Amino acid sequence: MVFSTSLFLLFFLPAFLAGYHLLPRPARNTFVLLASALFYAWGAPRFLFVVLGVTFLDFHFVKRMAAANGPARKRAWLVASLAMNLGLLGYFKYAGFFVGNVNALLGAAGLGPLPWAEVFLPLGISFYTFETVTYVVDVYRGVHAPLGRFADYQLYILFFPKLLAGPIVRFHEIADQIGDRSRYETAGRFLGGFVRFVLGLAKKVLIADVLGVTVRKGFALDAAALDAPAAWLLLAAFLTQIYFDFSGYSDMALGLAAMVGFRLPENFRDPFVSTSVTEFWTRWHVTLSAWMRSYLYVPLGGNRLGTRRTLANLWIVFLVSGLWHGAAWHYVLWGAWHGLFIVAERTAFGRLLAKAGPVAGRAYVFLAVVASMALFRPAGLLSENLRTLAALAGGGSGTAALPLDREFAVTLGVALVFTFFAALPGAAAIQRLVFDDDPSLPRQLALVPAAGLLLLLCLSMVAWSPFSPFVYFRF
Amino acid sequence: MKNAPSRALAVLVVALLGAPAVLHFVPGIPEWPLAGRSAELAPYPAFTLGGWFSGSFQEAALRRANQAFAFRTWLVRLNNQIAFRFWGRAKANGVLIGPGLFLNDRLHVEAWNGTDFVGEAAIRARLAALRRLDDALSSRGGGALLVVVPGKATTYPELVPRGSRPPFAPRNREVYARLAPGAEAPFLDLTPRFLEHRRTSPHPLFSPYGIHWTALGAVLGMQEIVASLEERTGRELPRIEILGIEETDRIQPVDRDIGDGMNLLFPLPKVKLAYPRIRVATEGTWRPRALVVADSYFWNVFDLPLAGQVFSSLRFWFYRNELHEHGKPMTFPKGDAALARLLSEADVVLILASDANLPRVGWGFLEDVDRLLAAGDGRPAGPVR
Repeated sequence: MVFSTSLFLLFFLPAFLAGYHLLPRPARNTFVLLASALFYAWGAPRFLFVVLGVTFLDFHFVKRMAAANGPARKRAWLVASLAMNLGLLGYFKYAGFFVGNVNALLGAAGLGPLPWAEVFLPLGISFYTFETVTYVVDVYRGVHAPLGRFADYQLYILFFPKLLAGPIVRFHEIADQIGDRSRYETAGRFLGGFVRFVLGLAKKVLIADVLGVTVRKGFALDAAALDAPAAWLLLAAFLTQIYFDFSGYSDMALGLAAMVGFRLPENFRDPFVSTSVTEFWTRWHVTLSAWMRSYLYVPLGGNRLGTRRTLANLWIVFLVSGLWHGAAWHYVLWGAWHGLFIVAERTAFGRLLAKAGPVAGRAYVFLAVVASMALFRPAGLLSENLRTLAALAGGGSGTAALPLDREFAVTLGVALVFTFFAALPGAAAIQRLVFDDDPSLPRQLALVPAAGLLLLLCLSMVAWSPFSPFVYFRF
Repeated sequence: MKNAPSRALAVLVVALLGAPAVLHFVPGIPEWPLAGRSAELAPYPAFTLGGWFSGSFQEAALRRANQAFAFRTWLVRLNNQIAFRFWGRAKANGVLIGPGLFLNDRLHVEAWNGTDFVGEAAIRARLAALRRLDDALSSRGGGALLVVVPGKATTYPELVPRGSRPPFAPRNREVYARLAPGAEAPFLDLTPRFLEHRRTSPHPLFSPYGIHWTALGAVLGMQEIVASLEERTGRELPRIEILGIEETDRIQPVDRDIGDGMNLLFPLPKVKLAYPRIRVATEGTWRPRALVVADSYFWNVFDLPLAGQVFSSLRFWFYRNELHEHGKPMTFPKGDAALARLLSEADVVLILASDANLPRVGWGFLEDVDRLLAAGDGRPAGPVR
């Protein structure tokens, strides 16, 4: 079920919120769990059993790991759990990619291909697999005790606001809220959550979806036919679309969670005020970056093993991050692209950048990330990604024109203003006002009607064009 | 939730979110039906396990949910109004906005600029089939005629939406006109008459908000058609006389059909149109039985009293799909035998289309009739009435 459909907004959501707040507290977690199972099963009914089975096994693996005597036994249970979770992710998401590449090599060597039947990618598997990993690793590291009830663990994994596209919630960030969140179940936080949810919906429906229309048409053109300005404009629009789509989803997830007393971690912190790509990755998809740092970069040795090893670890993290986004070489190259900038910023280039000032730094980050979209775009063929990259550098013929119109131009302009808004003086105060988790009554009386009007505009879009899935669902 | 005003506000938010779904079942909630869309809701999805696991139940439920909530039509109109007001864009399928709110249709613009050109070979084949049909009808004193009505973009090219591709040769209408004399095919292009009218009369042949010719255009067109049939058959047909013109801003629904189809919240600015008062002189004239295979342009003729006066019987085969007689749809069996009967009961066959429909003109009628004639089954029999 997609948040930006009338089915969710006008049927599921009010029924869920009314049901939740009318029920006595002890029944609420069960209600949220059932609603989450329905939400997931709506879009992926077959895979609900996969998720339930894996969480059942995982829960008991971790329970036994916590009860095991001696580090060797604990480690064995850890390995078993990781093998199961990552194995499933590997099977569903990467086996086809692996077999495809092996078959290409076998074909080049004149050998026959390995047999392989295409498998469907379960919705949200990249997100909830990372969460199951945090559970087992956090318990193994002693960060938090294991949950006592299987239903609580299921709720952590299946909690529908963040199930399909994050934020990736680390177990210790939410464990205590599952047990007791009564102090956050206030009307003020509910209304703050509502405002956040509507802002996210507006980002998705009024900006990302509008830009997506032109982006789709632009990507349907031959990349080699675009001149450099057209290629830059197209990729800037694509980046802006993804930013508003994904951060919009995250806002909706945070808002929904807040309406039932949960506090999820922020996933975006004004990424385009960053003055380096390194900083950008502390502000963009924050929970993925945090996961990579805690569960990959640090175990690889982090920055404790010398400069060369640190740089290698950073590259590995970004290659894995690219592969996490999709089982295709263009995603790996996209990860490598970002890794390249991050490694470069650890050299003299980084010191030069620091001296260049914030405006130059922001321009550099924006251009670097826009250019990376040439590799990120799902073009079907890697050669098309490379042609897009060549078009950015002026290698296109310029024989094709982007189908631009007033709606696209104004929407992109407005979106870019919001994108860089946080860099303006006084912006922080306005953001604190709008993104207030627990607004005071006067603020509620100002923000909630404004959000209601925004919701009306969004509903008018939804009523006209009823289905548009989020970009990050494919990951 | 301790704070009472905040709690009330939260309850109000949930109630307002749920209101459209609940109010859908309350009778008397005002809706504003959308023009060009069926008011019938998608059926309730029938739950089966198979449907659930295949996702077909969810798709059906989504279709139903997208329609089954109160105020939906108002929301759609709000969205259309925003697109129209701020982006100068019509969200109705194929509708384009030209200078001065002169609405147009994508197919009409494509006919004007030549994007929809079907190729000379297809046009030659169609003209040859038309000639053979005309020969068959002429042998008994009747005839066939292919009539092309210039579309809105062809008649008013200066009002085509900005940014449209400019015209380039060849265009279907021009190629039909060029090839028809050589093929000895009965072909009438109303474009010269319409362009002459533009030069000499202040009264428009198209409404800014409609895609069909106005009643005035339909009358002018019928005058040309009658004159052409007289010339081809050598017989005098009823005369259509324009007694006067009445200007009004209360325009007919057909003259605002695409304007209505934009489904806006607020009405478009008023415009004035000219409606003719006509008389049909039938004394001592031949009133043939007509079979008309045409697109929606013919409705403006069919609905005028003149159609029933010019022809002694009139069958209108709308897009060669619905057959209408005496203003009502009639059931008619399908197949070659039925087609042969229709032909045998007609003195003249008119095939009429706007230039936007020229790529599909006849909608298979000419090809099927040609096949019948080749087989010797469809030759019209009996005396002309």
